Amino acid sequence: MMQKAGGKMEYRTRVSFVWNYEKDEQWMTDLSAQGLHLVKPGIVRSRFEKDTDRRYVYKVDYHQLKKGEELKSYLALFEDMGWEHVSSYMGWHYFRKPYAEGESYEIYTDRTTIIQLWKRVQTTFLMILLANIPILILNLVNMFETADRSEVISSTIASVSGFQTTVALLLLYGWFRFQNKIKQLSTDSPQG
Amino acid sequence: MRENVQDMLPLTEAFYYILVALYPGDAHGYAMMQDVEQMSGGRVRIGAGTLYTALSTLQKKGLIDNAPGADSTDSRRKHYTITARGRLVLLAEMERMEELLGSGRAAIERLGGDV
Repeated sequence: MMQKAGGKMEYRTRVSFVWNYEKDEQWMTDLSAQGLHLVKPGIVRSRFEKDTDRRYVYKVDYHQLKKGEELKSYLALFEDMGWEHVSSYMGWHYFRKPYAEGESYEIYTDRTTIIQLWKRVQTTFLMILLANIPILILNLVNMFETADRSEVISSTIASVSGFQTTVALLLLYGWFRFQNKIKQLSTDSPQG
Repeated sequence: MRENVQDMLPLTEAFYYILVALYPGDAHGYAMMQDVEQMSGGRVRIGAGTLYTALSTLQKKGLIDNAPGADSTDSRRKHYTITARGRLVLLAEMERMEELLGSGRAAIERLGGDV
């Protein structure tokens, strides 16, 4: 990635959820208008570069792509269309384009493909959820078999199970949030 | 596994125009996007996310494929070619739209309107 030498780094903390990714795009774009340009996104803490001479519009996309040919041709397509690749992690790809009056910034321009995007995210949620369920059940079963076990181990199992349950519920909630987005977009459409 | 040609219709504008752009010859994504914008007089703009998703969907459905022997000087870009099945679907869609247009025109003409 191209980075101007001497650009001062700054960090910003923000707790966000995947289903609010459009708000994240707006957040990054707003910060860029103030001269803070995202260079390294993090789950809570993101790194920005300071430069008041530039201004970008940020967009994110989700695709699980194989490293190599597949990822390269994907990034090449975005580059061809004027998007600079900023960073990728866990299937989320961050892009930016210099801000200009009258320029178009939508990366999803029809209903069919935006619904496909949301379904890709949903599928990932479900897969992580399903992968976690057996372990969660095992832990819950263990929790109630308390015979001859130290309190330390019991409470560890309990807190791990608690954490897992929270994650599972969040994934389920996230799945429904995206389901809701899909439903809304479909009912808005005269084509059904 | 293969869907019936008629079951694939109607095509979205992006799908339709990608097939049209590939009909005369192989192309990579960006060239197709430019072609589509020109053909539609700037009306149909395909964003990068939509274009990539549409291309992978069309490829999965067997309507387009990777172009064989794409030039090695441009190895990062993927070149696509329309398949025989893709041509079939495109022609079927044109026939469908032709019928829609015909019916609409006939109805207006019956009222003595200009079409």
